[in-house]
Amino acid sequence: MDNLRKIIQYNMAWFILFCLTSTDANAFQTHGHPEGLYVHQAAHLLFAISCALLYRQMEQSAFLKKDGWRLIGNGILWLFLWNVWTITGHIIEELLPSANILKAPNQQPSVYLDSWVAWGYVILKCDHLICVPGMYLIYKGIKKIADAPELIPRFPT
Amino acid sequence: MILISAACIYHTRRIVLHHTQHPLARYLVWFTYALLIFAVSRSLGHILKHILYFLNMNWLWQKLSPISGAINSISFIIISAVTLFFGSMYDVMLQMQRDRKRIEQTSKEMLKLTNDLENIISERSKTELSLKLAHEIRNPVMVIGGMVRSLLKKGDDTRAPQFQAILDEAQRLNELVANFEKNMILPQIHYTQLELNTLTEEAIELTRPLAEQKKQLILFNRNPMNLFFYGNRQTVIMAIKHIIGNAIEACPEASTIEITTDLTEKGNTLIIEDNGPGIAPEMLEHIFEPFYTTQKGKTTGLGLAYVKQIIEDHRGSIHISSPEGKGTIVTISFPAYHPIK
Repeated sequence: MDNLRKIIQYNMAWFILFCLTSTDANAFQTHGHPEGLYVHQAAHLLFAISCALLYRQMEQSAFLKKDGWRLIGNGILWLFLWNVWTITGHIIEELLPSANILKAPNQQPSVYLDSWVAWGYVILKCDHLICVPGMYLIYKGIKKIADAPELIPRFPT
Repeated sequence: MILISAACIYHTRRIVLHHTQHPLARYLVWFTYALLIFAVSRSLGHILKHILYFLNMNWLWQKLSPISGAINSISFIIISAVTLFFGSMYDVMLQMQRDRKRIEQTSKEMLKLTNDLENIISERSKTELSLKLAHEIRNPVMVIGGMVRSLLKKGDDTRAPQFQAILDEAQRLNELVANFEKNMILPQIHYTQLELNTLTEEAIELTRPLAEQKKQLILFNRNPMNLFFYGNRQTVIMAIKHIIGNAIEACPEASTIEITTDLTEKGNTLIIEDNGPGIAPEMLEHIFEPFYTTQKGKTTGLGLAYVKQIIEDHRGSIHISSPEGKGTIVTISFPAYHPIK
């Protein structure tokens, strides 16, 4: 036991000495190319998690039995699916060789479909087909609640 | 996307107009504003991209694209943060709502107990006043009796029969007051001859609306005999009503509560039997302890303690048993009293 303590103390001393060795005082970190993508993917992941949690909470509190809230719940499920879809899309995008992206003047880039990755990329790029219906369901739900304010449950104020 | 999210904001604002302080309405406002930021950054980004590619200004889109993407990410984070924060706030608010209901229930229970206690105190005050009055009457009666007795001793023969009559009446009045005092002495406050079947019927009638609300059936097996005992009508009804009320609360909808009156070796007995969830043995041990309750926050835990006190004041007994899975049986006994005809 005493030996173990001595070993820990010895190593701790080395670690502190190492931390105290002088280096340049350049504090802020450099943020290179992939970091933006990581942040964006993390934001998508967070969005997906919050959608899932919100849906679960709505289900537990019997919100989903009410008309407007059911639509909002469904919209949130679509948004959850959209987030998963786009996260996958961004991963596939990274896997796609740059040679597959064909660029022409005055035109948006097009994709050369020669592999499953290229096909996957094109299909996953159509994420609007999931995102817009999700938002539309949320809009319909909110409208329904606005038309019938009694759908908002009573709360202590 | 922009149009949809703008329409969302419009309708959310309509909701807020109806529910100004409502947290759910506020959440929807935040959520829809974040959706709008997302929609604007995404849709405008796409439109701009299209135009810039058309104008062969790809280089400019390369510069603007990260900004649009960053705004996108920020809007996702805002939506997530608001949603996650709202999630925990919502739990807190639900807890607040539950607590408020509990406080309301406890206040009602306290109010009911206060009323009952006021009734008891009022009864006791009336009794004490009556005893004081009796005492005040007896004093002049004693003086009258003493004076008449001394007049009789002086030997005034002509008025002796009248003095004797006064003395007899004074003695009768004295006995009357003594009897009155005897009957009124605490704790037998305002005790009268009562009939258990009648009191049980009255208590059932008082609790019937509550049972009807839960579509429950109250069966009363009335003993054909008159089960007389001596006690305070109001407090005994209150005790029986409390026990029946507990059975109604404990039982699920459409269940049956069976009430039986009988004359047993313990005296006049009342049995209240329900087929509810019953009481756990570890709770049964403490059931009569003041402030002990099986429904934390809903009741004060004074009800059964109070019922026991009332029954013991009547020299009676109460026993609760709860065979596992067979509901609860409450047995109350009062000493039988046979009126002299």
